[in-house]
Amino acid sequence: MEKLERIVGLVFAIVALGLFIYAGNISKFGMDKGVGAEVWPRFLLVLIMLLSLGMLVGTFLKKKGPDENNKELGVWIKEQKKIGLGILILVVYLFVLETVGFLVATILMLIVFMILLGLKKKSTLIIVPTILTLAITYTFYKMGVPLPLGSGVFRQIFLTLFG
Amino acid sequence: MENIWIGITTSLEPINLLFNVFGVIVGIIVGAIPGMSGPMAIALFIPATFAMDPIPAVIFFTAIYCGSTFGGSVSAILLNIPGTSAAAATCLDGNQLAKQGMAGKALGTAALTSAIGGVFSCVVLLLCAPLLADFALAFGPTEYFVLAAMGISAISSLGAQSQLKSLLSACIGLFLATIGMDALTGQARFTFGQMFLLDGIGFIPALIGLFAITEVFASFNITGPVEILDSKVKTVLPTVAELLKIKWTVFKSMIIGTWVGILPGEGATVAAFLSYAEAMRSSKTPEKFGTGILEGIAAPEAANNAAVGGSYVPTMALGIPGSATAAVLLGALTLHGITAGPLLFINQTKFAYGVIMAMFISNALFLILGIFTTRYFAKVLDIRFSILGPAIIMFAVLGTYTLRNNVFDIWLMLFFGLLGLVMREVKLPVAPFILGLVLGPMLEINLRRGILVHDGLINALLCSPVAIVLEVITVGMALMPIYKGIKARVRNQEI
Repeated sequence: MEKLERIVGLVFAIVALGLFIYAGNISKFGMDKGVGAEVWPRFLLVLIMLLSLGMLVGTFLKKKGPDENNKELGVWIKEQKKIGLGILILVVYLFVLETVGFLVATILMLIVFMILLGLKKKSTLIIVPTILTLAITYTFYKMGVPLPLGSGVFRQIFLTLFG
Repeated sequence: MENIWIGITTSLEPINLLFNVFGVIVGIIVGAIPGMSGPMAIALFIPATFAMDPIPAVIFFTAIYCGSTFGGSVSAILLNIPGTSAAAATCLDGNQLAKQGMAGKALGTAALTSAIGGVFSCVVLLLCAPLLADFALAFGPTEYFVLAAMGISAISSLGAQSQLKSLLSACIGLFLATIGMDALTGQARFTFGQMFLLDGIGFIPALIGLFAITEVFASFNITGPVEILDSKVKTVLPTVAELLKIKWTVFKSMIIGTWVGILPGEGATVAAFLSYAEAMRSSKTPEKFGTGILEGIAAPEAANNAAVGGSYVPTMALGIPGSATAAVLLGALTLHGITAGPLLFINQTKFAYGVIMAMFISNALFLILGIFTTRYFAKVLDIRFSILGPAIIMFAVLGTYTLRNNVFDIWLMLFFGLLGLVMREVKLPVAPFILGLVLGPMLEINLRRGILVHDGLINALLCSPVAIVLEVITVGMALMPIYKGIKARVRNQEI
């Protein structure tokens, strides 16, 4: 995956450069002598920039061979569809977690993930996520560990079951 | 001797013994399931142990580490898929032997040689760690800075595919460790106004993200259970004659394993492959390797479990982790308020010796469990990933959230999960990253303190003969791969 390596190398180098400039905002307060708070991270950011560019340049110098990992970026992106959907599910889950609450959001998240991973049996799709989440929620609730209850109707569901 | 006795009594306390057994069982299960790993299980369980006493908690983690290193061989033998990377070399002969209808013998050899390797490394740990700690008592900030730097340089010279990528990975880890409040001046660094970042990057979200989320997403293309060669397998120990035949292979492998474990790096995996290569090199019949011979199982298994004990030597004595899993453990120790390093054996005698003696028991436990219960552990290989994967994600979310009861940490976990995926795709090794994250604060604080105390960088670096020797070793370790590369290129040109 040379193209991906180039993109990652470039992104790392740009981010490191941005952070290097940002590090100038760290004031030298409290350090009359010795090394200030900004010096060490700036040194590391320079190293990250150089090494990232080294990785990028390295992809051009590498001899091309019939390497199976050396596929086109487009093919690679297609292969990552499932992972991309998985990440999307997790992002949506995190956005709604505090509103919908742990109980309902997690049951739904588990069901969607299981479907994504190819589970087709309807009974398993309903029973496993529900029992697993109920058991975990009950255990944590009884242990006094606060989990997001959600708001409105979702909060009511939680309190009806465990309150 | 008195300390060893304290360790024995501590490790035999019912609560510690209970968590040792539980840890070994969890370890074998997660080790056996491809897509799960010891560090993943440790990271997921760290939040659950916050309320626990540090001794049973760390014994539990140690037992997971030992159990998972052995557990990897179960799927390597029965599925030809290593449950952990450390068991990859075991596939070569273990699965071949299983295909010949001798899966039980392969598992028995793996269990026995793993236990022998593990016990040997525990003896080395027991003898060497206190001595090393004693020696390190006189260390000042410069020596600690160089030790941490040695950890980073060693990991970039060992086992990794590319030194440049290992260094890049380590530097990213070191940089992320600078986020938060500066320990010397109290200034906020790279927090972007986020209050939650003032305490620094949460170690647990990072670990869970890198080990659990990355692993689960990376395994997304596995949809169903792979066919098990022998689901009703019964472990058969090698006979005395067979053991005598492989004794030198086991002996050499446990020494290689322990030594590689002591050096900071990808301990168990590198140890297993090095031992396999050495066993093949020194064999009178190297052509038989890969066809299902006991030496081919004994070499990697004795070595990978020996690397576990070996990795604890620098972790406990110096606070420098000997492997990625040991780095995770070091983070767990810090979260439990235990500072690893020379003073551990003086201030926390009960803890230090208790954990070491418990490791002996862990090795005996997985041997017993390996002999009598492998057929039940093999059953877990039947669990579909489509159920297991989402369940791991749920536990990852739960473990991260309950740390500080905020969703920000889960976002952080997801960020590290994605970073781990990208790193995996471009072959940036994770071990140097974790080491950088763990050793970052130690490296920076001691460098800055050394410069303050000795009035300048040069004075600090030349402050003592020990520091100079350690610096020479560090530079040597960093330059070794470059030297080897040039040497290989010259040799190729000559040919």
